[in-house]
Amino acid sequence: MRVLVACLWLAAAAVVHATPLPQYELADTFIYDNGRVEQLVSMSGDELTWSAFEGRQYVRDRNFVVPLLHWDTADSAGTRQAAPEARALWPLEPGKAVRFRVLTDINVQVKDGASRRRRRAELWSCRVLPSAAITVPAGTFDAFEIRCEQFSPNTMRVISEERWYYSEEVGHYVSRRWVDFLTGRRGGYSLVAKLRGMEANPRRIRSILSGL
Amino acid sequence: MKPLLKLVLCGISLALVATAMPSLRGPLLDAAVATAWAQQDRGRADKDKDRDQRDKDRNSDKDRDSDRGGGKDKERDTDRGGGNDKERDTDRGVGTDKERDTDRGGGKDKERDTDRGGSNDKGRDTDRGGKNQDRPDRNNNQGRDNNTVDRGGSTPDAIDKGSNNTGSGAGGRNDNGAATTGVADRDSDPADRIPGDARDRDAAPFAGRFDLDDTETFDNDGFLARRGEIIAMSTDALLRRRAEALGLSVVQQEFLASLNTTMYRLAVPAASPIDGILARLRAQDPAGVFDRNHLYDRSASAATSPSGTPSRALVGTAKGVSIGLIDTGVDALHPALSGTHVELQYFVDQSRELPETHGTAVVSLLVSREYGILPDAQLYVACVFYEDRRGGALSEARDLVRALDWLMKRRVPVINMSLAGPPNQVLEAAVKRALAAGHLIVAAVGNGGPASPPLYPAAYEGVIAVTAIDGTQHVYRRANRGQYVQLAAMGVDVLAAAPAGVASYSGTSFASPYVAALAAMDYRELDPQKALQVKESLRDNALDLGPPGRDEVYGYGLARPRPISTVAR
Repeated sequence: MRVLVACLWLAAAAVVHATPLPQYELADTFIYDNGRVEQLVSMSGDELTWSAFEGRQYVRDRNFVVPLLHWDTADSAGTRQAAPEARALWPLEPGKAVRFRVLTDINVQVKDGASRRRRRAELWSCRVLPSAAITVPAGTFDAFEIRCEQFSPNTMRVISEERWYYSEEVGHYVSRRWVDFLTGRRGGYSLVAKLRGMEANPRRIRSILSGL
Repeated sequence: MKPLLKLVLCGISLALVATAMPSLRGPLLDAAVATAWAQQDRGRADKDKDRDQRDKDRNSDKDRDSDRGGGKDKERDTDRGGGNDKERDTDRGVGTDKERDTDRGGGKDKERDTDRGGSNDKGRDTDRGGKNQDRPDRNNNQGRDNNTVDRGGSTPDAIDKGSNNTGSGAGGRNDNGAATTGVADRDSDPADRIPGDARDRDAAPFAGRFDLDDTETFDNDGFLARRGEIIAMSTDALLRRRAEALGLSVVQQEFLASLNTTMYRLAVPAASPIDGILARLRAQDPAGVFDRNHLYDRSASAATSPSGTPSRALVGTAKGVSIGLIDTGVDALHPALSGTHVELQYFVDQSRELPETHGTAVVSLLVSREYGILPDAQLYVACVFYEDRRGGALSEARDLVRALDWLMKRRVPVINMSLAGPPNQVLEAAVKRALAAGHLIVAAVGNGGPASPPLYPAAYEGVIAVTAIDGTQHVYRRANRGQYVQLAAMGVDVLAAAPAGVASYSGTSFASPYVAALAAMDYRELDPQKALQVKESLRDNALDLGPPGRDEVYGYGLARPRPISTVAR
């Protein structure tokens, strides 16, 4: 009986400490140190439409580790479908891991006005590391590291790695790093500021960008 | 068919073993899943095999192989959709020539240039977002085509990982240590160009999008301000004449005795370059202070049904203690305020709708007989807020300065400002003078959230910036953070007077009055030296919260009363 109670207590504690999917409000704006701006322009369930600064829009799942779900530019348009297993990553808990497959359909515009449609699969594996303090230009936050690896669908060799640092306090990822093992290239960016409501106006954003 | 069958059997057997041996389950299941995935994609890989073989023959560069962990070209190309180098380069569109050449194993320039549709290097690097900023677009590789027009910044990877519209950096630096391109490059792609320097062109859309009224605008830094207005503090007798020479009209002129200066409100004709005029005024009168008439917000969330616990009085009676508040109006007839000593002074156009909820709540927190922390204290409330069309409350920087002057005139030692907004040079100058005169100014850090830029006046040097915590001593989720945070106080679900009786309030607005009360108990007469001692005392008595020592979340920690034995008589 005691064991049962202890198990129930532990399970309840785990639920309490689990970090749920991020919640946003329209116009929430995140500005990163590489000049990247993510501004929430609409929400449809868990599909969130983000806008770059007065620029392109794209759709991302609330579970942001899933690659972009939809984009449409002058040159290419595409959609992705992520396997539902991806959602199992949330609520975040250290040690939790998921594997999921993403199907990508891309329409690439060719010069003569025609387009070419392609389909490919992406295989991802993500796991949650314990929360730790991370310092970014916006401040110091406790953040879960979500480490995702993309595998070659043929060889299962890891071809890239993404590290997302999610702060529950901020309600968004505060830093993102990646390595492309195929090219050896790496990169990343970190949060400079979050703006809400009327603060998230183009002039304010431009002003912060100009200070980077 | 045979290899396919083998793969399936392999996957199944691995899964069975994993089920039988739990310790091996993780890695074996991984392998099984990998096998299954590999099988699913094998068909596509077969199709690409011939093309990859050609690629492999051509690209035998050792460096590239070592860069990629020794993976075979075939694997790489299959991963990326199996295009040959020529195609792949078209889609990548990032990286310097040197890097590309290394990666490719010495592809010929001629080939590369042809692939890029003849664009020159300069244009390409600019359009594509600078070197190293974005990694190659793996997603598009399957759709490679020699005719593909790819400007880099529009690829899904660039959208996903790049900076702004063009995918260029803004002075950032990637992990390879390479500096990314500057802000100016963001406008390098005409298709993505942000409307240029004619700042006011976006004023009309702002009005609709942000529901601004005719008298409001955003300044160039995006802070809300009174449209076409400049405020000034100056002792220059010629200012009026100079302003008129610049085409400005002096709407109001008022001598502020305590600040020992004259306050001007200048109207700028429509379409005049307000920033240029400000620069001219500053140049002509270096001793004067000029800025836009910025607007400030209360630092509080909406009231909710009462759920918190009432605060407790710090003392039985606080007779002789006085605090100044710069806040909204106050409902003097509210039952919670009966028998209190509150003097109100309005600094806002009283023909407007004047909010009272916030001020009433803060006043009740301080002096209500039921739950006030300083019963019998004398309060001086400078009412500066008006109701805006969006249902909020705003105050002008000009009125904040006038309010400060009034409280200085009343010689109120401690002034609480439960409001937050943009930096403003005129307000800053007034705050400095008040501090120099020995006033203690306590301000809410603001509710912009943990990643918000600093808000003012809390972020001005010398001001006691107060954040809010909840009953479990955790910081309020919307409180600002930063090096300027000094102290924390209860500010979540605080019970205070509301129009319908009592309500719970949250926000840094409701934390700063507590610190103001603590300061006021020890500081009853203006004395700059004593003011410093009181500030030190508040810091020394704080209960350290968060990481040891001062931090950006809680400052020095939870503000606490001094032990009885050390309270000044």
